[in-house]
Amino acid sequence: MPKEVLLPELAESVVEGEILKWLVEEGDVVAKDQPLVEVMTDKVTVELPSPFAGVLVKKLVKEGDVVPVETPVALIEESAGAAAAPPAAEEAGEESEEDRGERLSLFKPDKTEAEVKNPFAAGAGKRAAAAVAERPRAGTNKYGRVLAVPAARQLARELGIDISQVPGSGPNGRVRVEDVRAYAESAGPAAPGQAVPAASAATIPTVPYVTPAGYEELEERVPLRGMRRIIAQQMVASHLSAVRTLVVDEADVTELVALRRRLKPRAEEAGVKLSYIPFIFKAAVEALKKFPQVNSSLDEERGEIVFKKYYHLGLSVATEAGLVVPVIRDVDKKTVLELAAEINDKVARAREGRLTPEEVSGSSFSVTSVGNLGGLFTFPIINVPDAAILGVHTIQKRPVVREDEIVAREMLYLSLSFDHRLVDGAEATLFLREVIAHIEDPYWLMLHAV
Amino acid sequence: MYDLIVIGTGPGGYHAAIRAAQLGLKVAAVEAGAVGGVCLNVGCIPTKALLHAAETLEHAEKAAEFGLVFAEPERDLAKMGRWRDKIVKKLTGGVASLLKNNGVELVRGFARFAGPHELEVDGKKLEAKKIIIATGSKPAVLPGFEPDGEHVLTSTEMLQVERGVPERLLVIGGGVIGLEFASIYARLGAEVTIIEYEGQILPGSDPELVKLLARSLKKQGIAIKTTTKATGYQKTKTGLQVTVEPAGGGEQEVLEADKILLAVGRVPVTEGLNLEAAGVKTDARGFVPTNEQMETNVPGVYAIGDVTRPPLLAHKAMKEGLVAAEHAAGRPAAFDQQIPAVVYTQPEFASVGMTEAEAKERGIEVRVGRFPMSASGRAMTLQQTEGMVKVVADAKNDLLLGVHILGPGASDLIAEAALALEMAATATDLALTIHPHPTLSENLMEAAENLHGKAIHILNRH
Repeated sequence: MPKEVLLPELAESVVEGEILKWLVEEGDVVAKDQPLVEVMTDKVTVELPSPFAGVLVKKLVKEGDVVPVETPVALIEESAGAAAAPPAAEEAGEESEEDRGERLSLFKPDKTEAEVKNPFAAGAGKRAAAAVAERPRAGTNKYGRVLAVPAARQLARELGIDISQVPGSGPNGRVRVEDVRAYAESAGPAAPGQAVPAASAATIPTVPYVTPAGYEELEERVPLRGMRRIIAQQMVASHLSAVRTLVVDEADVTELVALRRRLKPRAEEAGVKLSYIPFIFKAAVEALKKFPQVNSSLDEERGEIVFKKYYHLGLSVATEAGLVVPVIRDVDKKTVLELAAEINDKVARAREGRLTPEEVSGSSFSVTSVGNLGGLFTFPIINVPDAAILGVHTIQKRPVVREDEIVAREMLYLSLSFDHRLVDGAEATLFLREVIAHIEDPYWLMLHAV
Repeated sequence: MYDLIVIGTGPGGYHAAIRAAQLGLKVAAVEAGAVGGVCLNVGCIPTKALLHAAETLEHAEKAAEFGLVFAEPERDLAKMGRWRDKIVKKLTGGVASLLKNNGVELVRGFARFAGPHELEVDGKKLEAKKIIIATGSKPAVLPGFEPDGEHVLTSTEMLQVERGVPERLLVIGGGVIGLEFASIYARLGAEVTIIEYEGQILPGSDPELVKLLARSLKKQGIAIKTTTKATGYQKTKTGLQVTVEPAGGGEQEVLEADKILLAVGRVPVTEGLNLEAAGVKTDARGFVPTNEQMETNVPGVYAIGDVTRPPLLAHKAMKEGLVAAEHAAGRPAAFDQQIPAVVYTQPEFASVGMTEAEAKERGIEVRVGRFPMSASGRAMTLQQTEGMVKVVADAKNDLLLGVHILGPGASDLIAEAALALEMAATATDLALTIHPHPTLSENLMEAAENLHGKAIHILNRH
């Protein structure tokens, strides 16, 4: 009997993945651990290794499908030599957990560690994991139907929800009316680490597109797939959930430019290319400590504001495939040099598409650097559920007035895009001033150097 | 222009029409025959009337056991027929007035598609935004046994009990219809033989309970020949000689009979509907396939009831009718329920959900609980101790998968089981629910207890 290959839990709080590309065809012989399919979740792509050797009998999902974790993606007929269990056991109708499908393990999150470092993220992970375990699978479960009470089925129909997607909280994962309601509510604003579920997308009116008559030949249509789709979803989620507001200010970074120039060779001796970003990260952390609401998130489900006493900073990186936000954890506990090395590594791997799901999740605040590309300043989109994002722009000499004289100084525009639900305008302005104070006097950072 | 036209006013059709009207649609229902369809006129209802009449004979006989001795009953079959008709008339009249009072326009005549939104009823054009096909089914015909109204009869003709009770009745087909008529006529005094092609009567039903039922039917004087096919018949001076042989071929045998009831199933009615004009497709067996909303391959054209797919049951058609009407009215609806089934033999047989065999086929490790009617106090007081309740659950998580009941009251008891399945209840839920004493319903609870080795009134062996 062919065995099911299930989409593994790709990372904590990741609940679905997009099937990007099949690497083997039906009928192909596959070795154990041979990559079967490329799956993308939250901006990273992973290859799923085959859990056993055998013949790929059937692909159960198509390229472009977005499927929840624990979904069977393929059927593999184990080759006789590689079969772990004697076939007799299967014929006898003995069904162990393994027989129902192989659970791939790509990532084994260390729960203990996560709890110590990031209680918020760990909680979210547990919730997602619990939901996954109880998720009934329509059509693929052995009963041939989702376990759900009739009233829950009817409510799901009324709300336009696929009952098979609703995690059941009843005995044996039975879906109850409350489960459908809870699912409908959670399908509203994007939950941490989750893409916008289709159900909520359906409630947003779409803008119709009509090709101007006569120009059909001059248009090229590309399916909204992969990274672009996830970016689009995240942006909509951010746009719909946060009350985005902007404050812009400028910093005189003449001292920082000089300091960096001086430290650059030293860093190079240590094998690290030194950019301005680690200094800005450090300055941001000092300001975040003073204005904790900028380092907060809204847990709408529980009606609570979550103040974070850790500083995980995301850095927006433009890659060929699109926008990626690697996260540098515990910025407050790392030196400028350590940060520089880590940032360089993650940016490089982001461009190669080799970041793990953990490395692009769990930020508490983000920085986007669009300096080299031009533009005076931007109004960045917040990496929800963060409360704010800092835009860093071009450093260039500009004439400024110092002691009634016009002098040339190295100037930098900084824009802070913040969620007005969590951060007031005055706080945002003062926060930005605090960042600027540290950037303008980088030696001050020395006082907080780790 | 109607919002909805329903073709057929059987159980499915009238449910659809009334629900659509309740939801504010302008509805017409087209009926070529009698309002109420097969079920009310020549199916469920009249057979139940005759079964009750026949059962009363048996009750009177069995009353001697507790000291009530009645004189030999007089059998006025004509009166029995009139009583049957009275019930039918009352119910069909009720349906007609329900249609009327709900604002459904009843159009008499034969409907024919002229397009996906257009019908011709006896030359008159009717237009509708949506159309529901609820044309039902008719008896299937076995070559060599074409019904002739004299020797080979259909269930419709057999209902005419006033035509007399044949001395020897041969029933071809051991399904629901065959068994119910066999029961009626055996009690009215006929010598009944059932021929079934498959290995058991009620093919697909729980074999353990079917075996008990077969035993009980034999005790009532009904002979049953399974794995047997009828190949032809001849008229003789003394009646009919029917040739039968093993289903797989082999030595022929000749059975004597006076009448033959042909009950080899039913086929969907789509003839004359001109489905092609609407573009509605049928499958290889003539059924009209639909999705969960009962919509056919043509959007806005629905099909419900016997014309769509087995099982051919009125309550399935009723639910499908409601779903189609609600969907046609723009409401969310889907047919995704479990369908209980009932056979009105004596004892009654009813089931819902999976049999033990079906569950095993799906790779589920099952656990079975049983409780015999012979251990039920209430069954004893009713003089009906034949049968058993059988509860099938997933051995891993105790989820209830199926309930099968042979015994008195099975037709009513099965509803509790259907609710339990819809609620995804476990055998424990059933066992922990207080059932009043003394009742037949207790037997369900006891069977569920037995599944865990905890029934009180029997020794729990597994």
